[in-house]
Amino acid sequence: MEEQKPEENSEKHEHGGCGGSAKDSSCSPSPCGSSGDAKSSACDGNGGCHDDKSNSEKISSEKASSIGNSEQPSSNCGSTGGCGNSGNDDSEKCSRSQFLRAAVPCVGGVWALMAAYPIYSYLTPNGGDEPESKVSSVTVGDIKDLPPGSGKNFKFGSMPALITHTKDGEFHAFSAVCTHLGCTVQFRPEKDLIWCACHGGCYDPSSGKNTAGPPPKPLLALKVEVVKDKIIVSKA
Amino acid sequence: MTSGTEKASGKKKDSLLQWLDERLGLEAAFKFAQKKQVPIHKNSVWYYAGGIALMLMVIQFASGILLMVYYVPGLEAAHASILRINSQVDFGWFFRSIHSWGANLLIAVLAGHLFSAYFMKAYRKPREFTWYSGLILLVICLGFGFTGYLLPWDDVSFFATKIGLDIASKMPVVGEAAASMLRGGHNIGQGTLSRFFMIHVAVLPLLCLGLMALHLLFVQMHGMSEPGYFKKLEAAKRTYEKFFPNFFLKDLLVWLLALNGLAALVTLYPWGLGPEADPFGAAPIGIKPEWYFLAPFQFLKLVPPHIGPIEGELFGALLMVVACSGMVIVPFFDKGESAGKAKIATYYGLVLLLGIIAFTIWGALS
Repeated sequence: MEEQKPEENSEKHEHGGCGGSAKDSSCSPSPCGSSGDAKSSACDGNGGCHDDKSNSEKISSEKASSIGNSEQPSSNCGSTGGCGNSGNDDSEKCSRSQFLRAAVPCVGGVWALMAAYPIYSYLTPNGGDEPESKVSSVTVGDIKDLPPGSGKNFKFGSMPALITHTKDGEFHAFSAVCTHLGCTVQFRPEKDLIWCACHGGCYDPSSGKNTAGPPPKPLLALKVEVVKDKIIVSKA
Repeated sequence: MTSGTEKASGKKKDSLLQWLDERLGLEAAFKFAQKKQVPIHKNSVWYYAGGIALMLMVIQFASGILLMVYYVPGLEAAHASILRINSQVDFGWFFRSIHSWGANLLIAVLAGHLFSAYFMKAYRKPREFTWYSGLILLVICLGFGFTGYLLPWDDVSFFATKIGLDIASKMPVVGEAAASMLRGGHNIGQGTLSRFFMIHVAVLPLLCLGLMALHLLFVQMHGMSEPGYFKKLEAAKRTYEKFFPNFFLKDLLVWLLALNGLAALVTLYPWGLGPEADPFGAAPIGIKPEWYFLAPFQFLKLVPPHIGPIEGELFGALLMVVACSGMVIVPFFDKGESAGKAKIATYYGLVLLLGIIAFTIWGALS
């Protein structure tokens, strides 16, 4: 590495001020140091720089130690508690490459998060294209279409539903979504039960209670009314 | 005169080779290929599995691209477009059948490839990354199967997707968010179909191509794995054959046989199409997933609704994850330093394989 000459730097600052040179490998957390040229400049506290020969000499010797440090593999700004913190001269400065080694992953990580958020939001359904059903009641059909000991699947808004006419003459309606893994259940007249074809879950046709198989909960019950021979199902 | 023409064409050929060599480093590649050799032992037949999987994968890509010409990923159009491919487009039934049968054969071949590599202890140093890239490729292929299954939008595929996403939603922490993102809403619908199509034709193929390249690169870097009993033989008794051209020509022959087998299946048993999905209809009686998901399907049937404070399906899903996790940790458990650990790894593999086979048969018969 070329030994720096303070006089040349003093001359440079007279023309160019702080920053600009990328040759020097030392940096500090101050705006001046991080701007790139710390050869002989010192911050005056107002963001400006002034020439200081003695300071230049000091930094020159620090630079030498910093160059020596830069060959050590793992010290970076983050792991040493930041550039320019108090401590001995060897550890208080970090080289430009060390700074970049720490900064690039940090900036990259932040950038990746910034890029991931809109993608995540874009892919997450907000329900705008699929409004929740506002349906509160549905006419399923005539009584004569559903004799005792039978059942029928029907659409209740956006939900599949099931009505059963049990042998005691009562009508019962439920959500047809199996509480196990969401398949649509059906009434099996020969077994007189509500049954899920996917994993064999069974429910009582009167109460919707889970009676056999893997379902953990009863079916969601709906309210049934018969008005002028018409079966009307509404939310319970 | 003739020899003069031959000389001229020979010169041209040499200069072309030289031109290519200067730009592509062909000579180094040829030298490397000549060095590559395949061990000959009683289990050498399993070395063909990877090549067959590669060939089937190429067929899947080609037939998939052809199917995209006519397939429409819309709720009202998907089923109709497959019907059209099956019945109206020339050779449509053939390419669709090739794609469906090819997918099934690919999973079967990959299972054979995985377990043969497992029992030959090919996961040991320095092939850990080859092993992991292979495992991920298998998961990707199962993903292909799961997403592709919905695309025809028939009743069985509709409920299979519903079940699959419901199982995913039971997973702790991220389950519901991931399932909702895949479903594209509260219910299986257009959002799901669009997402599955995008994953099936864009995301998974990209991942698959990248990982296949890595997997093949690792195989070239480390050479063919040799089973322990082969390594222990005296050097004079260990026999090898050259990959180029000996094994490669055999590979081509096996590919041809596999291709003929596929063509026979496609022609004799063309892949069918069920009735269009009815989101409000009951699940059809006798509904079953594809054979490669039969084992978890059957297992979940047996799990009771609650096990202590945990819901049965969550417990069952987690149990299956734990049961398969041995495949992930095995390279670090059985490093080839302990005969006891090697035995445990072999027994674990046997139990897992027999368990999967038993549950698959049980699921198929029940």
